[in-house]
Amino acid sequence: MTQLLSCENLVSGYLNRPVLHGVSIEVPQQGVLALIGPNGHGKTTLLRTLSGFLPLRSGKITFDGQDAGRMAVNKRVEAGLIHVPQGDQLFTEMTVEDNLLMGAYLASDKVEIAQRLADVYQLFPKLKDRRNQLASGLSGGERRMVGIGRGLMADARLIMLDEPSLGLAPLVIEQIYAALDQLRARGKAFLVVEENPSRLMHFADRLCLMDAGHVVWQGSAAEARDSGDILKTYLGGH
Amino acid sequence: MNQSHSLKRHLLVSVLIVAGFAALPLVMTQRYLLGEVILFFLWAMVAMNWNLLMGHAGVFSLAQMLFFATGAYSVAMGTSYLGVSIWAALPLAAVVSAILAFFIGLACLRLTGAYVALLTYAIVGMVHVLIITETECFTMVRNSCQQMFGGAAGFSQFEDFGFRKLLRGNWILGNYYVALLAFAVTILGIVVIIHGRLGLAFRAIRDNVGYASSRGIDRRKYQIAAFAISAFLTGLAGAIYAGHFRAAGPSLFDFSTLLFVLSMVVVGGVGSTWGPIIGAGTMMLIIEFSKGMGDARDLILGVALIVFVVVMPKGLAGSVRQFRQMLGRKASKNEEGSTV
Amino acid sequence: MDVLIQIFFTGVTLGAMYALASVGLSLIFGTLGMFNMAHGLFMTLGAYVAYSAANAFQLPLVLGFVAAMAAGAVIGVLTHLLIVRFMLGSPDFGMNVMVATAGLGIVLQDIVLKIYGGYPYPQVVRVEGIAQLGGVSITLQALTNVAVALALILGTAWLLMKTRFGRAIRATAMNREAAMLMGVKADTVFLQVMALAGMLAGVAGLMISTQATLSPQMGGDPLLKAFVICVVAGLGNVWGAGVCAFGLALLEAAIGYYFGVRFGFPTMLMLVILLLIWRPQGLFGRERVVRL
Repeated sequence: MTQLLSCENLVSGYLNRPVLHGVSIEVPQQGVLALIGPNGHGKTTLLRTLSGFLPLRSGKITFDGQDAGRMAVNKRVEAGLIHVPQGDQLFTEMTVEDNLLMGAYLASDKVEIAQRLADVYQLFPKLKDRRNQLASGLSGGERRMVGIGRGLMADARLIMLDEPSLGLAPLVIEQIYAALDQLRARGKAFLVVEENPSRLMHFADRLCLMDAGHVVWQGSAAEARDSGDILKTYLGGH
Repeated sequence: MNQSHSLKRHLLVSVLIVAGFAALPLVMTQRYLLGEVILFFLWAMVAMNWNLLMGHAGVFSLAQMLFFATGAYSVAMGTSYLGVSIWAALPLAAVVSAILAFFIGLACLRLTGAYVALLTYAIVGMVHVLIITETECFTMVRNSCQQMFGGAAGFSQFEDFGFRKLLRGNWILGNYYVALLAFAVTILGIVVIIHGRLGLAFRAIRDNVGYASSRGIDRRKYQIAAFAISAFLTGLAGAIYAGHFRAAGPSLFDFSTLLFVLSMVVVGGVGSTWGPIIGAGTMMLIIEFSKGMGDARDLILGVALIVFVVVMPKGLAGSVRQFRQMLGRKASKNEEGSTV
Repeated sequence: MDVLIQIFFTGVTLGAMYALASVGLSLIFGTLGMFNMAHGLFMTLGAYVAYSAANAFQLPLVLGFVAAMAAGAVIGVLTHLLIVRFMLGSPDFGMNVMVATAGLGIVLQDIVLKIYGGYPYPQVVRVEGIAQLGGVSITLQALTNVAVALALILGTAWLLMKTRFGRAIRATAMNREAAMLMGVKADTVFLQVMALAGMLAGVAGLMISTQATLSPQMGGDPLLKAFVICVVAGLGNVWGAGVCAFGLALLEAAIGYYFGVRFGFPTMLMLVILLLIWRPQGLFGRERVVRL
């Protein structure tokens, strides 16, 4: 089965400073690929390159059979490559519902949109209660839910989550991951970035460890659990 | 290390520039041209100081011409009303401008970015309207009414530098060297500030207020200092303007004049060292060129502005720097602080 | 009482025109982050094009307004396509685009001067007649202006709040990158905003010329007032700009009546200065908290 997302030797970065030095990653059609590693070593840069904000210096990105390397940001979203950015980046002066509706910006079928909205509210009941509240008044966990909900509102083939547990209390992180588990069970494909991989060990199917802009280890979750040494070296005993 | 090397290099360039202009009258004798160079000195002074405030301290102020006008009006009113000699009026004008700037800086303290621009623009607009619409006569001048601040007609025919008596036909040389002296002081002063601790502090509050305050740099103190310092020599420039033209009027508040000087800063390169001088020269050349085009004058100016700013967002100085980088020259470590 | 009604009508008439100009300006600032120094000329062009169109084709009043809107929209779009879009994304964008649009303003004003001459003349697209309301006379022109302005502002409000198109504009203004991640094409949004703001400015210009005369520099004063209004409201706050436009216009009318017209603007400026010192973010603006 062909991969959903295939990256070969990606080189990318900022101005005079390349951050990714030839990264190759594959994401299968279903299931979860976790991207872990210390902060500042290229995980977010990789996601931004994949979503199109950073130009690709060299290498190839193939998404859903198409060459995505030169596609504009909006075209990649259209193709179903959805990036839920770090720190939420919500539309703070809009209501929760308007935020979610923005997620379905590219959709035109009103019935379809209403259905997706209902699905999101079913997954995150708290959002339904707060649907007409301004996004700026939400708690951290609720904001995270809106961010993820926005990603779900698009017709996503692959959802890339940048640190969904960032800044949240453990209990809230549990709630978020419970929802993600449900989605995974429904067959959604995810690429999840986390600095702390402990939660991911159980959620992910495959793990990928990045250090200094390189992929230093790739394997299934089972293999990761077995080769605890490698991970301990890089992440200090998680 | 790199810092002092840059400083020495820039000081050398400054001295060369001043020396060049000092020798200029030997080859350029036409009064009209010398007058234009005097104007260049004055505008360059304003542009350099404005660049210090806007480009280095990051304060988006539109009040620079107010400080210039304050200098001009101080000379006019000082000599007319207080009978002060013009030589005493010059430093007085600079001080008055600095004091005004201090208060304006105080008013702008809590504002950020564009709001400072709008507030300063509003202050200037208010002063302008109040001056023009004043009708009450303060004194009689040559049998006609004169308002306290000169009204719509402004001040004229007051005491000037007195070179006509001294140098007769070559009186303009006297004004020329007075202006050149002020220009020289400004260049040297600005270069020293930019490369010194004050410049560093200014750029710190421009780039990263949080970090700056964690290093003990009080944004408020330095922002007000930037206002006052940039106004001091701007006021002096205005004072010399008044002494040279023997006139000080509300046309100094015109938006087109403000835009003209702003263009010098922007076209030259905001935040650079030599940008304002390059920009002043460029803009004056453009104006000179378009004067010969008669009717198309404004059109040329407008198009020139658009083209410059679209094609060279970092200004002429910035483009020179980029060009040198492209040629592979070793860029100095101070690139971030833009000390070209 | 009559005096108060008169002041109210004057204020509302002025306010309608200011609101059209300010809402467009605020929209441009909020979405593109730029001060459109050519906005006054957008207004001027709207007025002159309506004049020419009416003269050339003997148009009814409605089409005069449409001509003004079209002219404004076109110049707005051209400004974006030929100038602004090349500058977006560069670090000194704010300052550079101010100089560029100021340059554009100079060019446009010169073109108007060359085509129409500098001598002011009256606007042809107008309504004649006077009505009596509550014992006070008010021109039908003023009533028409207010009605059209309200219709356009409400229309813009509906567009921004209730349509997918408007939601994309608001989203782009709030967080450009996040909007792009939803599939929004930022460049398309910018074009739409420039067209919309230009359209509003064109109508504002037409209205202003019906109250005064047509002259190449007619846009300077309204531009300054629109800026002041936007700042008082809080930059980027579109509704605040609309509200403040009416507020400031009423104030100007009142001061003009009681103290003399020449004090209207300086007093307004004085109040703006005091307001900004008291509330640095404007009346409705959000306090910018510096996160350390």
